Amino acid sequence: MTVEEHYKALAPKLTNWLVSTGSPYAEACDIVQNTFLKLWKMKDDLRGSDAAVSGLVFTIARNLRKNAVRDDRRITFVEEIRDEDAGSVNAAPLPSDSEYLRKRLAKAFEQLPPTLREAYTLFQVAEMSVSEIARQVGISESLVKVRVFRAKEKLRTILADLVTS
Amino acid sequence: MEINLNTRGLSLGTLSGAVQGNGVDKAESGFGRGFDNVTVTSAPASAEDIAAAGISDSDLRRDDDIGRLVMKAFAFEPPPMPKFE
Repeated sequence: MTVEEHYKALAPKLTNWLVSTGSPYAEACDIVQNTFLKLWKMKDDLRGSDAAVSGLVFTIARNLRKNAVRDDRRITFVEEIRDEDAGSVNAAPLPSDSEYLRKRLAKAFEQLPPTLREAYTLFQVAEMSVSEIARQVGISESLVKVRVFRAKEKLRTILADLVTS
Repeated sequence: MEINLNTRGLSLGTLSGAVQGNGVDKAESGFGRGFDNVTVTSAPASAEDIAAAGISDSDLRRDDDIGRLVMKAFAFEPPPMPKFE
């Protein structure tokens, strides 16, 4: 696959993952674009499966976000995203209750232990497979399954009113 | 490794105890020793392997109740593709 094809496949997932894990939308967009510019510079050295490239893309994005934090750029949580900020970079039109959902989910994610949050968001939002997450995080596939399962159970409890309604 | 269990959702500590109680030496300290519904024979199994064995594919569906909420909440448009040059 070309870098352009990787972008089309991975940019939506990466954008959503960054937002779901605390980056404001505008910052997530910057990170996504810079991630793929870095990937493009590495294009002659890209080897391995698409899954390996996917892992590399998420690793680059994580590092860029860490650098942003180190540079004292404040990471805010999803609840602080303003609609006008999202709109300035062509945010997808969302149903009116999506903002409420994002706030609730952001708070719910905050209540998860970091290891469960990481596994679950990579699984659900980034749509990585269990084996991809295992490689990305450096744990066994069994542990990925356990963490995703436990995260779901905790989220189901925290968001019980939304799940049953 | 042969396992027969219904241990979904049990803590790793509990499972570790269960593994230990079944004569497997690859278990860390824990409680719940002698758990009836965990049987491990032959090769040592880690507690996480045993816990994961109780999780089915349907437990890991992305389009379940929670998954649908997440997909609805995080459906952002990605930024435009940068110019690669």
